[in-house]
Amino acid sequence: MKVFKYSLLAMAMAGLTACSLDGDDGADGTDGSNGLNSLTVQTELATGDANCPNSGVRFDSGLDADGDGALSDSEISETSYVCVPANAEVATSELLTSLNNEYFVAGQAEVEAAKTTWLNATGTTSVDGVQTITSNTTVTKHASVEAAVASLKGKAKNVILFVGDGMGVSTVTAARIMEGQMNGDNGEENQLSFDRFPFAGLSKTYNVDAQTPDSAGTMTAMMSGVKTDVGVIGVNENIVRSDCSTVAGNELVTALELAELAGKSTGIVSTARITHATPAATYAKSADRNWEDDGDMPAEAISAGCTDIAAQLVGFEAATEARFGADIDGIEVVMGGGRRSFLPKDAAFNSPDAVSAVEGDRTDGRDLTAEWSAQYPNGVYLYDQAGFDGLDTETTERVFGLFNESHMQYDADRVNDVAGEPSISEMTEAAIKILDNNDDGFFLMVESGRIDHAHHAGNAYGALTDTIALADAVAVADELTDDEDTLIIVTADHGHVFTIAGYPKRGNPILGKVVNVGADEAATAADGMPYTTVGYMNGNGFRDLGTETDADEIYNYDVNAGRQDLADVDTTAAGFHQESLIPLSSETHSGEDVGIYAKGPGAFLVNSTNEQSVIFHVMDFAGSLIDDAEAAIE
Amino acid sequence: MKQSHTLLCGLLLSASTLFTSAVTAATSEEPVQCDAEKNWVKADYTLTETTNDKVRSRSLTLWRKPDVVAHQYPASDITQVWEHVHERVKQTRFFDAHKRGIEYQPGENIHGRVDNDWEYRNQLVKQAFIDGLEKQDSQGSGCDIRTRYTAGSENGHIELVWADKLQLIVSFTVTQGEQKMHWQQQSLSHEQADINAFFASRYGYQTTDYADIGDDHTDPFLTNMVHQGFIEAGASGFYNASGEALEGSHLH
Repeated sequence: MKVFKYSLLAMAMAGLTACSLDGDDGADGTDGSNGLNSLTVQTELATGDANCPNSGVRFDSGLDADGDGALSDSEISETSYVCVPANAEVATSELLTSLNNEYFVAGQAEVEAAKTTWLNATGTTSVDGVQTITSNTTVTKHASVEAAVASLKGKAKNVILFVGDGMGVSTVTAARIMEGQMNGDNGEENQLSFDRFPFAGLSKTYNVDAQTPDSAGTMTAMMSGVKTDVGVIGVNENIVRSDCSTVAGNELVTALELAELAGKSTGIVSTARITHATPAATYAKSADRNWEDDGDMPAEAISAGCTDIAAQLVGFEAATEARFGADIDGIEVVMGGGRRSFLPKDAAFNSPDAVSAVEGDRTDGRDLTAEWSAQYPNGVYLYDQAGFDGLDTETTERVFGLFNESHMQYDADRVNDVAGEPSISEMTEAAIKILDNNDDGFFLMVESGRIDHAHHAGNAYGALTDTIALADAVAVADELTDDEDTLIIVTADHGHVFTIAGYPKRGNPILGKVVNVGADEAATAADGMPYTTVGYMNGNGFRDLGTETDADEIYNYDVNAGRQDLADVDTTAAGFHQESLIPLSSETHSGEDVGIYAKGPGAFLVNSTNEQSVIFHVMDFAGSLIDDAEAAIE
Repeated sequence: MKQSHTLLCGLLLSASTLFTSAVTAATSEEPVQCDAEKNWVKADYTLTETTNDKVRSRSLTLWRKPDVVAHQYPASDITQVWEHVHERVKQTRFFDAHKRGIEYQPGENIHGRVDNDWEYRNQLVKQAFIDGLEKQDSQGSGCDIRTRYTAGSENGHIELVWADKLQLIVSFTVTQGEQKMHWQQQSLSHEQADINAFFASRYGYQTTDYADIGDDHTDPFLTNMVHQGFIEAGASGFYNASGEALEGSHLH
């Protein structure tokens, strides 16, 4: 900025130099008496000058009355100034410094961009636009804006909901820094893909019966627009958990179901078991999140007529048609882990890449993968990377990919999988390319399910690398879709007791020990020992597993909470498990708000602090899901 | 547990003492039959640790069926099962008193080291460790050949009686100073029906992935686990001073 300032000054000086007058000679006049010389003196003024706060030049002129060739104060008859442009209201050099600061200027630009973003998002860019929307009638400004907003309903042909399970605000911040540092930068200034989304708000995550929530209740709220109890899937708070008899009459309708009814294509992608709470809440109704297969259910629940979650997924089309009396074509894309809930408890049904002697858990003898293939002869069932790589997304009608018998691998651990697994980005890309073959649009839910698991294990590395992997998937989705017709929301179901603490200097490794500003050595606490920037309020505590990338390994050890001497420990290693205060075998969720990040039609509705269930309503507004579903049923 | 193991060394037990246990004899020399007997095992052990005048005894039953091995600890009502599939070792810890199980992702880890060592879980002692001992005499015939191995230094002594064909410990003694650890096989069976019934009962328990225990705070069993912590693996093998599984003949 200093260069800029001096340039202006130089230009001003040059302009003045060009003002000297050299006219043509005129006719000789009468000699007069000797006159006085006129003198002009230029004085450069420094920043902070009373007349030129931002520096400049003063011009003093007058007649040299005493003929000494100099312009004394008494001889000055006129003074003028050429000042470097500045805010006339700014009086102190301190504020001038702010105005010339790159962060300050960038902030101003961001505000201007935000205005434009909002105007674009609400269709109120110009008065002409508003008048067109209101059929050229004379309306008040408020009414015109209202009409403009109303016209946006249903503008999102496609809706994509990304859920980072357990991806609280501190996780997003730490992952952002980590990604930046992996790119060789300080990190703090970095932006994850969804950090760049134009709209954001906060989500209150509590369940109806719980201050600190779980994934079942929170995802039900997001998918159905109704907050409910902890541990239940797709049913309202009138449910009694694990009581099958209370399900009937309390089932909710989800955004995925509405999209199906409206004729859109639908998809579910998760790195967790596809029967796990978050993905299950898109398609299932269950009194207990743990009823993933019939082997998990009490006999009385089965005899009372309740269906396990895996069977509900495969039977989704028939059940939805029966419930609504409509014809749908079923979920087009299902990809994730959790094969065991779809296979009989019989080694004969093991997949080629099974890691258990008997992979399946079903006790009713049903092979749901075979049932799915029979139900959808044109569908493609996948279980490994090779099969995934062979997928033709332009010709494939539907896909059922179960890449692990339980959860898929942590992103950092994928290389260790028996037959290989696609990344969340790869699955997202394939899902969108299949779903967008439907001209009526699609609804897609993508969950990064193992951020939560790594945090539970007290392993920040696993949580942050999976968060970065999710951000990469969001970038892929953003690239493959059009902001004009696709609403993308990125959020979390809940946070974790994961903190970023101490006063580390800028660019300090986010997984490292705190090194204070201006220091080169790790800071020490009152106990004389160094401490890490990130840590957990509770959990299993410190463990140094070196290069081990499977965060679950921590569970093979006793709880080791409290302070540890980390002086000789590489806390940035993948296998390092951060210290915790409260000794628990498993770190817990937190009750704090989580972020909602949005772009595309209807995204402007995401702002302020919201009940988590509002996310459904934003998706419904943008996609006109309820109206379109009702119209289709009628 | 780890410390008591590491300090053990000392005197050799005589082979005659080691062979006083009641062991089911197998006489067939058919390799196929030996394989069957090796793969279908119920072997009861007592583990006696002596430190000065203090004697502590525990029991362990080793169960095997093809590619699956279990270590059952009756005193703690815990059974650990390892499955060997696709060169991975998947562990499940069954809490017999609760009829519940916790499943681990494949890739067992012992004290900071990746343990994908099926042999160690299946045999209780690694072959590399046996190979480092000095072979002494052999007795028996057919599948019941037993070989005595020893090692010694100023720090202590080791004696292992090993059923070569069945890949089973018959007895194992480590002594150091006033401390002694002695494993003794008490009984051996290859009855497949009993073995299948044992595993079937465990696989009938409700199991939960370790990754999932933090997600359900309404399950009393899991809640108890979360608040009190999980019991560590226990004496499923032998460790050196660093808590590492014994792999060679080095005495520490």
